[in-house]
Amino acid sequence: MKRGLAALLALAWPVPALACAACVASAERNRTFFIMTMVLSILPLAMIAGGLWWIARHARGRLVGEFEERDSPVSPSAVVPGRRNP
Amino acid sequence: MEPRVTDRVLSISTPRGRFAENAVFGMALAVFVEVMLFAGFISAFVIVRGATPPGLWPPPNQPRLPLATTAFNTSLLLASGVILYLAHRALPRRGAEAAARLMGISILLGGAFVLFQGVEWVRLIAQGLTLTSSQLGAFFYLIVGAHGLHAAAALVALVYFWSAMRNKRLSRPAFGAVQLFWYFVVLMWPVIYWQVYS
Repeated sequence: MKRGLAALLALAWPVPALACAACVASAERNRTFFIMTMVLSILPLAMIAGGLWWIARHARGRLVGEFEERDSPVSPSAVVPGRRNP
Repeated sequence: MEPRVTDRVLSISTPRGRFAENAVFGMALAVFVEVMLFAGFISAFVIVRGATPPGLWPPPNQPRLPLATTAFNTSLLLASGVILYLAHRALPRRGAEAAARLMGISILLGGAFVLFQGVEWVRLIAQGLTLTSSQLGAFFYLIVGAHGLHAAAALVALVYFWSAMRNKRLSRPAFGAVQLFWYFVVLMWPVIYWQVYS
């Protein structure tokens, strides 16, 4: 009974948890915390985006002709009689 | 004319259909992780500094960090990075010997940076800034120490690859990987200088 009442009272008065150092800090600190959270969130995404951009930029040059060469028929002039031709 | 061993080894380009050599790609992943490590360190430092009441940072009873000497050190490190880039440019145009010469200068400048940083540390410890003396000391040695460790490791790698280049055993992917790591060390430092020393 007492436990139930205590639990009810606990639920009746919700307050901020204040569990981390940033939560109990000043507004200035909260602003710093927010900025650094944004930096740490955006930085890896920016690096991944940069990597993908780099790959896309280089892929154009690297993959040009990759499949064309493999799929292109062998020209008759390249066939040498008596030899194992591609 | 039969190409020399150097020409053959150093002229290997990225195989067709691949974006980067395995060594370079692996190093890029490592650099990604290292950037996040330093971002975490610097973020924690900035939050702790931001929580300090006005006028109490740096802590009044602690020595001030040497701005001017470190600015000179920073210029040495940046010059080292630029010269390594010039070595990279010189390799296909002027050959391995010219590139090795430039790489040697880059290593000397990087070594001077690490040496002067060590001298600065000894001076600061003598003045009372230690790992446990204050939050400034703790963060300073953590962040600058981690960077110094990376710089020293990168220098060891550079010396090894410089020796390989002189002996005409260096492959282009290995050179690319070690360059990437050194550029990371060089470019991370101005951020640390800006945040920690200012």
